[in-house]
Amino acid sequence: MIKRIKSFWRVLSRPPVHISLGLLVIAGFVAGIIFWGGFNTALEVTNTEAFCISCHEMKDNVFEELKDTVHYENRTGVRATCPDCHVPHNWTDKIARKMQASKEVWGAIFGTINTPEKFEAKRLELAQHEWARFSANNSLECRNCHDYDSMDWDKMGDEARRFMKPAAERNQSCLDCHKGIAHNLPKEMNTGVDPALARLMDQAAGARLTTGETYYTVTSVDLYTDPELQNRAGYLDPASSVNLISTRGDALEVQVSGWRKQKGFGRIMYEGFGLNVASAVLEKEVATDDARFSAGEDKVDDLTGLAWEQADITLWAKKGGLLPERDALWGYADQTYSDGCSVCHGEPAPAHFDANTWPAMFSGMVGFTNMNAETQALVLKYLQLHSSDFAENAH
Amino acid sequence: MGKQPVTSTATDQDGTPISKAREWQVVLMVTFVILPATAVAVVGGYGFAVWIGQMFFGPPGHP
Repeated sequence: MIKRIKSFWRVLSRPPVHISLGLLVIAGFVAGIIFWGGFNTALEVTNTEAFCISCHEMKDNVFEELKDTVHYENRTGVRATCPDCHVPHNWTDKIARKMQASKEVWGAIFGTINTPEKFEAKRLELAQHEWARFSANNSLECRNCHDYDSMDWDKMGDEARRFMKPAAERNQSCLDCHKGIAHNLPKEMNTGVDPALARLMDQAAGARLTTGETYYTVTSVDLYTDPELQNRAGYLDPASSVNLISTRGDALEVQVSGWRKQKGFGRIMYEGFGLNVASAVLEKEVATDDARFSAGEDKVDDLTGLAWEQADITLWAKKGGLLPERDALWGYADQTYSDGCSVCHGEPAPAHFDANTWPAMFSGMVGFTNMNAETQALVLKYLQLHSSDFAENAH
Repeated sequence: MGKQPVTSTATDQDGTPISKAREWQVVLMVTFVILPATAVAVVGGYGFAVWIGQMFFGPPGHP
């Protein structure tokens, strides 16, 4: 072998005997063209969507999710393919990314994410890699198409403009607010339960209950008219108070006290007179059955002219969703509130608005966060019950 | 000065003259195999170096 290399080097290291200089130059030139073309073609081919989804890990998971989004199909017919967002366009960063793909080749060979379950388990980590890149380069790959300077504020919806304009002034990174725009969010952030909330749910599941005491729901709790828990009567919102009347097996007899509007079916039970803070939502059949309620005081809200009545109703609920106090719930809600809002702007203090202003405020904003419906209800209630109606020294 | 008859003077280590076929073999090997492989290795190595750099300094920032 060494002899072969030595012989090879001897031929290479002295002027050619048989081949003319012209032929050598042509050979080198042609080889150069073929190499350069081949190199670029290889880069191009590995930068196509067809190449990306040639492995089922990408095709069955992230590509399927992309298909439902505006980046796949829209009225103008311009679309983003995988590499548009996921491969840097700058040459050095692109080559580095291509080398990082050796990790993906490894994963494809050894099946690191070859089942939907394995993929879901890794989704948060994988997403965090991408978010870190977008965060560092100020969402450069988005900006290859989208540009703050080309946005027509007048054509934008009012709500969109209210957020986009301040973001443009600060040249904010797109992904700060638009995570999950092309693929599902990791379940830890979206549909799944936050570990902090899960801990509270565990506490509720194991809580010792005493008849006659007041308890609070951690998440929504279904209500039934019968102790067998067969006939649905509605549900309690998170962080709503009930009085425990009695226990029968797995069923709890609870009394919900609140105020109802004397208008429509009165399906919603509110926390207090004139306050749009829901504590329970009842089925129509239950809400219209006056015999079920022990009605109290009637009062007209001068501000709206609506008549309210104080009402108690006793229903059944499944064991395991109640906590003896709601300070921990408020702590969780407060954390979620500030985390969710401060991504884009400073959050107003809960006492900045009154209880009846918060629902409209909140529903206008919450779409920009990744709170699930359950958490949204809890946070809204936290804000309302800590609003200027309840806080001291509030404006 | 007359034209010299082509008599190969270049010889291999053990004295055997370098044949035309051997010379072509070496040229094609170098231009189509060794240099392209080297170029790919250099670019790939550069990519890996940048990747390793990113592990310490974080992902590339914005220009």
